[in-house]
Amino acid sequence: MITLFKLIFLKEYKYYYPEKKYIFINLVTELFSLLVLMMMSQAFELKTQFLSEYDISYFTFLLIGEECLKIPSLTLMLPTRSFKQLSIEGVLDRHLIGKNILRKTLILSTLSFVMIEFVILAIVLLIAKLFMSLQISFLGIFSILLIQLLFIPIFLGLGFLSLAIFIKLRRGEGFITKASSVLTVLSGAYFPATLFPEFMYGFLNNFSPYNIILNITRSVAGHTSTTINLLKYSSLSIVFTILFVLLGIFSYEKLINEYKRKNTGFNFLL
Amino acid sequence: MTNSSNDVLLEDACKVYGKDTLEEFRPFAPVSFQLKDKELLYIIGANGSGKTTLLRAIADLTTIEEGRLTQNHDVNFLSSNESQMFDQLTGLENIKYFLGLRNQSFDQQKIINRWQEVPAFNKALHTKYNLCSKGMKRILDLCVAFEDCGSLVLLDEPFHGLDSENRDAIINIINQDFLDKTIIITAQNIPSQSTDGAFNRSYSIFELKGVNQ
Repeated sequence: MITLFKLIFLKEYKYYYPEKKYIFINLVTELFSLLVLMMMSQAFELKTQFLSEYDISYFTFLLIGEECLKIPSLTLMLPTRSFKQLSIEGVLDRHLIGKNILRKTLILSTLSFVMIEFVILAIVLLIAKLFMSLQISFLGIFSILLIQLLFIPIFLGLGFLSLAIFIKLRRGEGFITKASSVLTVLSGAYFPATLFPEFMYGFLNNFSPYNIILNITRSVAGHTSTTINLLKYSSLSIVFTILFVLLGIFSYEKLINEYKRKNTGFNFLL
Repeated sequence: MTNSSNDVLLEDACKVYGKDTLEEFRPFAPVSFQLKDKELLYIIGANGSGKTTLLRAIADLTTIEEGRLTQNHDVNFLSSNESQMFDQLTGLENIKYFLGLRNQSFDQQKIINRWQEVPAFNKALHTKYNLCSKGMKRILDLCVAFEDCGSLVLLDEPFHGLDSENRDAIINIINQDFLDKTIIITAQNIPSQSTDGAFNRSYSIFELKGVNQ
């Protein structure tokens, strides 16, 4: 499995970073985003009562919202993107032969890319801590990174569910991206979700994995997490992990078999 | 029919698109044949007679709705598409990737030494796949199809686009080193000694009929 992961990682790395300068460009873009967030937070410092729940500055609030949803969003979108890439390159058949090779490849491709993004996230948080006014301790940063890893299975499950829809409809990658953006905004990435009507806030808070990961991350960052809250969110996370992983894999397997039966391939508008 | 567990057995097998609907369509008439382990079979037929669909069904890339298809091999499948590897990787990187997918331990040097008999192999090995010629791509595809761990090799018009020198070198390698593989090849015409029939083992021919033929 490690050899296979290494092979897939090298392939993904070569695809996303064909030259070393692309890593540099990516880092510069991240730093630029950081500066924008810092200036934005200074310009639009929210009324303190909105953030009292979290006990963190608006910059910290924004940075967590912006950066800590990247890996979840990517994990949700990457199985579909990788599947589409295999199909466009004409190598889908090679992955469909043999038991579970395609599924394994999609999971490892996603994890390869997530690993790169994870390193970038760690660098961004450290830079923000050392050179900007990020109000999170080093232990807090470590906890945030750990939370990111723990939530990967939920979003991977959702990713496979999205892929199943994509295989069924033979389109929809754009829709998945848009849905992910909407969920990001609704999760309260840029402003507290408490500003939404109460019923909506209550629903999102309990049922959207985006809200759950952000709430846990912010409460850990602001040291405002209570045992009850942590227990509530941990239980929800475990339930969602089991639910989405099972649902995702089951739907994917069902739709892949239907795809085989139809034997018509994919026609993408490039 | 008597069969061992390694035989490929088709009994009145037929692909049916849109079964029980107004658009019901059969690409080929029901097929029955038995291929013994380590044998070579040519499936010949005109364009549109369903050769590729039948091969895909044997590879479990599509289903058979009627009749029975039994085979217990690990399959290596080479389709007739021109591009079947990653464009941005070199030939060698592609070989490592695809062999690694199923066969995590393989002797890279042994493979390179074996296929160096094929004149265009070396160039293909170090060229990005999207810059390879059609023939170079085919050589890489054939290399993976035979070096991969599957014992049943399904080849859809495998020598299309190859010049005689490269084709003969590949057939020579197959004759020397891959006698343990069961092979099914599709072609439009009956193979001759001067084209793709130069294998040093006996072969059988199955003529596939389209439903309207």
